[in-house]
Amino acid sequence: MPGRLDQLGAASAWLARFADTLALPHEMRYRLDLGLNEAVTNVVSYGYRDAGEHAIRLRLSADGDAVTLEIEDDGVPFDPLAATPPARPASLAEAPIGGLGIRLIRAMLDECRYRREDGRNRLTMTARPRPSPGLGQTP
Amino acid sequence: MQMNVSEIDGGIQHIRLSGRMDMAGTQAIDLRFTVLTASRRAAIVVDLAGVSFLASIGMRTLLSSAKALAMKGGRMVLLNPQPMVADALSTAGIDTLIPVYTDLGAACQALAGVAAG
Repeated sequence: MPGRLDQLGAASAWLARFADTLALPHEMRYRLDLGLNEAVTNVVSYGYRDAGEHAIRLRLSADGDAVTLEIEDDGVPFDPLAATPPARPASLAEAPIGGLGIRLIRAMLDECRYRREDGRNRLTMTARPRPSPGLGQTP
Repeated sequence: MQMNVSEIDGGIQHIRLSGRMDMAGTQAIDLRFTVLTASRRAAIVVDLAGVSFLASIGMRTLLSSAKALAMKGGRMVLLNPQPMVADALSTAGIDTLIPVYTDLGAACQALAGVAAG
C-alpha cells in the first residue's frame, strides 16, 4: 500500500476480504484491523523523514486457527514493542492525549514481533481465537 | 461516519455516532463533534451503539473533548459500545476516565445537575 493515511480504508477493506474468505470470527478480524490501523498510522505519522513517496508492504497469512499480519516499512528504525506505553492515567485532567495505539497493539494481538532488516522495519502481529467479549464468562 | 444530535429532557445532549471511527471516520466528524462537545459547559451522552470500529484516533477525539468539557464544568459519558469497542476502550483505560453506561436512564442520571448553566 502507498504509505499514506488516506490509504488506510483500502487496507482495512483488503483485510476484511481476507477475513471473509477464511470466515474469521468477528473478534479476530476486529483485533487484526485494529493492529493494522494503529501500526500503519504510527509508521506514516512518525516514520518518514522526507516528503517523498513511501510504500508499506502488508502480508496476511493463516496457519491453523492463527492469522498473522506482517507490516514492512522503510521508515526510521522504530520498535513499537520496545517503546514504553504511557502509564494509565488516574484522572481525566492528567490523561495524555495519545500513546494509545501501542498499548492497543500489545494488548489486542496475541503475539507481536519486531525485526529491523535490510534497512526496513518488519512488525508481525498474530491473532488467535479468543472468547468473544460480552458473551458471558465460560465456566 | 454519521453523527446525529438530539436533546433529552433536562438539557442533556444525546450524540449518536455510527460507522467506523477509524482515521477517515474520525476526520469526518472531528470538527463538528469538538465544537458541539468542547465549546461550552454541557452534559453529553455519546451513544456508541452504531460504532462498529474504534481506533486510537477516535479515542483521542473522545478523550480531548471530555477533558475540555470537564474543564468547563461539563461532563461526558459513553453509552452502549459494541462488545469489541468496549473491549478496546477498557484496554486503553478510557472507560476509567469517561464512564461507560449500557442504559440511557442511568447515563442521564449520572449527568443530573451538570446540564448547561
